[in-house]
Amino acid sequence: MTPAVTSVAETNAIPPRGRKMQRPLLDRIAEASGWNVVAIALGTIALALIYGPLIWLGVMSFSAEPLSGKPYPLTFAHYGLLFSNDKWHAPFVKSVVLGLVVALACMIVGTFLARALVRLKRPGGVLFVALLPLFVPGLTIGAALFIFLRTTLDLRLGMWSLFIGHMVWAFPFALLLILIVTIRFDVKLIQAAEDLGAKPLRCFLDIELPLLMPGISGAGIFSFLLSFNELLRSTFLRGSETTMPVYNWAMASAQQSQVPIVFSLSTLILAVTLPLMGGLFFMLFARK
Amino acid sequence: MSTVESNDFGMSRRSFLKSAGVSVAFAGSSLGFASLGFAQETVLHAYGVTTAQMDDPSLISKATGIKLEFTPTDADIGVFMRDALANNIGETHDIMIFDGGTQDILGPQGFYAEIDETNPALDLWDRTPDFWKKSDISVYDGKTYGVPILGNCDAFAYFADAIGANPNGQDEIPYSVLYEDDRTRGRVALDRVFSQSLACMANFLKVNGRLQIEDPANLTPEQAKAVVDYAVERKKAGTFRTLHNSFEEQVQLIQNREVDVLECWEPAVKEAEKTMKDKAPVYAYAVEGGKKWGHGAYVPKQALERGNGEAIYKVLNYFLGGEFRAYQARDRSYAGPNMDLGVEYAEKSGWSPEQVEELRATDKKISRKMSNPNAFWAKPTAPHADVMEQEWQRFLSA
Amino acid sequence: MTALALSSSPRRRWRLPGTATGWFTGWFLVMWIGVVVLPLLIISAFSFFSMRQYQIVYDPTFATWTSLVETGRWVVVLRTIRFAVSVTFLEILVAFPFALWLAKGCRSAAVRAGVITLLTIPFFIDASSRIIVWRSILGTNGVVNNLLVGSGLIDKPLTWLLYSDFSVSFGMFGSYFPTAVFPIFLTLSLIDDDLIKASADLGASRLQTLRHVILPLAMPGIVGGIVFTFVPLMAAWIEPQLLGGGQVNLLGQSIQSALTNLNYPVAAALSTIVIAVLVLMLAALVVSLRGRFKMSSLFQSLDR
Repeated sequence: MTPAVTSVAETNAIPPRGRKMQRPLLDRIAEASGWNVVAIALGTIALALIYGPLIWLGVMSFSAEPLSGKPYPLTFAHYGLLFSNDKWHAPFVKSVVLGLVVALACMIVGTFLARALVRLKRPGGVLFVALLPLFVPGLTIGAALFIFLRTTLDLRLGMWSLFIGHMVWAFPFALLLILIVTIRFDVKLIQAAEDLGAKPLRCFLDIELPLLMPGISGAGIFSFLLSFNELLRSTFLRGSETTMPVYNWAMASAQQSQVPIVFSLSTLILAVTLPLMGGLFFMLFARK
Repeated sequence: MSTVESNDFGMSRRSFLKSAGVSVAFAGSSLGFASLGFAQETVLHAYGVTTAQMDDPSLISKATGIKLEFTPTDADIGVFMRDALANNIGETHDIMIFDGGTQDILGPQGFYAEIDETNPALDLWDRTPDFWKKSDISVYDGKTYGVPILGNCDAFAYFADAIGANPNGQDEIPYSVLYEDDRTRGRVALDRVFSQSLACMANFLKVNGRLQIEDPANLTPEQAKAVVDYAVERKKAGTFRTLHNSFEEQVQLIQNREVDVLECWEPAVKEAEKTMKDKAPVYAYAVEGGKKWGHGAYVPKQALERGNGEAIYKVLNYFLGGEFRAYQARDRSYAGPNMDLGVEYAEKSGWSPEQVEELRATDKKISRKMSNPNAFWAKPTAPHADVMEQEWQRFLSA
Repeated sequence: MTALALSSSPRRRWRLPGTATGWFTGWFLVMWIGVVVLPLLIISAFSFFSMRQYQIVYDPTFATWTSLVETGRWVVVLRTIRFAVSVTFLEILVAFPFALWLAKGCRSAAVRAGVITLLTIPFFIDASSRIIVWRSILGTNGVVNNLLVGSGLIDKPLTWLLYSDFSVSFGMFGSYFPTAVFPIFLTLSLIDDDLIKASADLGASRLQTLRHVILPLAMPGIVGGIVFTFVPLMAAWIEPQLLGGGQVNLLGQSIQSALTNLNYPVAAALSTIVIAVLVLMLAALVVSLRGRFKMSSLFQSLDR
């Protein structure tokens, strides 16, 4: 991204004040800087706040009284229940597939729109409309879509309406993440390539896409997760389909504790996704 | 009962739509029920609250030869009424299961069909006690719309030592331990849902003669305001530790002993008993009775038009029978009509004497609670529900 | 699609470059108006009708609006915004230095990938399970109180640890920290190291580099972080329910409660208030920044 340096350095020109400090900032930060310590400390505390309960949850999935917070007596009974119960399989698969479709759609549409937005002179209006669903409470969007699709248009709801509901929820986030990257993308790179005779598609695939990839993949992951955990809109748009969150929501009125199953399932998901995502992020952010 | 509806992405529903419920080819392939020996298995679709769902879905198939695919929903009356009125659920489903009271609206408006009490498949109807078949679960305006399938009288749970009650649980405890007892102040949990907590509070004020109230489940604007004024005053006095909203929260509050008394569902106590044994709280016989409620099974008119009547009545009859009764009582401590058949079934099926004894105890317990003259019937579709909800928000925000 | 940045030759003005095309924006707008704007307009019209027995009565009335004021229900909007603003502020305060360290300070690629993984994973886990665990930690007989009482620091368990404003904010902070970090990290990692080096070479102090180089370039990410945190916080439902224990009544719960009666008018009116307040806040922000900060520069390529 060398060409970027000149342009930004021009716009953010800082008056020179002598040339004493020759060493790169990174080196100096790495040495003894208090900022670094504060940043790491704050982040560690925040991560501890997130992982404290998660680890506790893992421990509790082996406890006979998982809700009480007492880790003993130990038992594998909940895992036994989880595997002997097949009612959650179909909703789980449905949620995964729906999440993947939503993520793919968000990545594609988000990339196209974000590239278009940075090339517009006045992107404000389009951006506002695209982000509008963010400002509306989830239940209201659900109710609004239900009234529109079902009552007004008289359509039969199902997976497709769940897809629309999840898109409306996940897309603004995906767009923002991709936009962050496209804003910083230097169009001169494309120009240079085109001047050298590259076809538009080649330019996009070889130059633009790799540079946008962190944003696009981030958008994909976030949209998948937003869809995977979505409940409020789904309760309106499900027709008679059942996704995993809807299943949990409905089972809450079964008046039999679902916690053992939910806790052990969460622990398993944690154990599976941790290495998977670790590998993915290592590829995305660590490779140089 | 079985896995949630349409296991393989709409396949089951599509085939269902084509063959109007009797999807013969699909039934065998769907879950491998061919091994059960039914060459042709009828599939019915139920939509309803998961309380009535059986843990083992194959039992119902074995007993009736009908596979009941269950689309689960939460106990949220708004969601149910929306699906019934606006989502045309009757077009795809044959049986709807929910709290009694929905027939008050869905019956007269023509969504529910009347129950044919003389249907030959419904042979347990005649022996079903009037208490159930003429209750608010089944009847509206003299017409029978639903088959009662289970019920209870909701009150609260208490730790006997905290209020100096007999730990055998036979005492009648007044609701005042929830609202205005210094021994429990700050260690009380109520239900967040107004149809439970506001109604029970109104019943308390009514029974103790402090307010003139006809129906605690359907308060007029003035009554609702007066009851909420009382609730706000008690809240300001620091009476309530928390308001819960789910079964899990109830169980946790008990297991952690976060509170001494809590308005809750009886299965929460049962769940706690599994690990707490004799340290578990007692589910109360309340002086003021409590809230009587029940689930009914209702038949959408369209299902009969599709010609599914015969199969539907077989399933309805099953809900009145011993097997369903026994399992519901065992798993959730809920009773229902024809409890004697449940005991009979358990004895015949080789349940342990303790389990059979427990079924008898459940029957006795629920009869005692249901016969308390102070108890009132729940009314999920109360005409004044919107006023009660608005007023309850005032309490929540106070 | 009007003016395009690429216009080095007149031919390009007509042949739209790559796939960033006007028809795409147009197509998107049409779709989005169909699934977002239109449904929202319809439901907001519902706030002028009323419900009777779960069915809408098409008879225009202001009853919903007056009842919101009379019962003081609209206040939940303000209360929710108060929570959302204060927690978002805290998140950004902690997330920015952490993201800066992650993007520029952390030199081990493996550590970086590891931390990002840790930030993403929580979202795979059902939120209510994550949050309900806190109740057994913060409760009257919970871990924290046991430790405090056991060590003799206090004689009676602290009750404000749970079912209070504190516990709700506390739970929210943990839940939305990753979403605050992620966009900021993304922009920061896109800043060229040479640029920072150049700034230092030109004699800028670290603070100056931060203010004049890093912050402006990180602005889209910071705005993104604010949106990513503030928006879900406005809709937060699980934290107020499980950690507020009904003592903290926020917007999401109020709307849910209205919808148990299928009270679309109240839900619509409350949401309209939310949108109005948020648009007002946005407008105030734009006005106050005008002149000091060129908003449009946020959305333009470096090529200008």
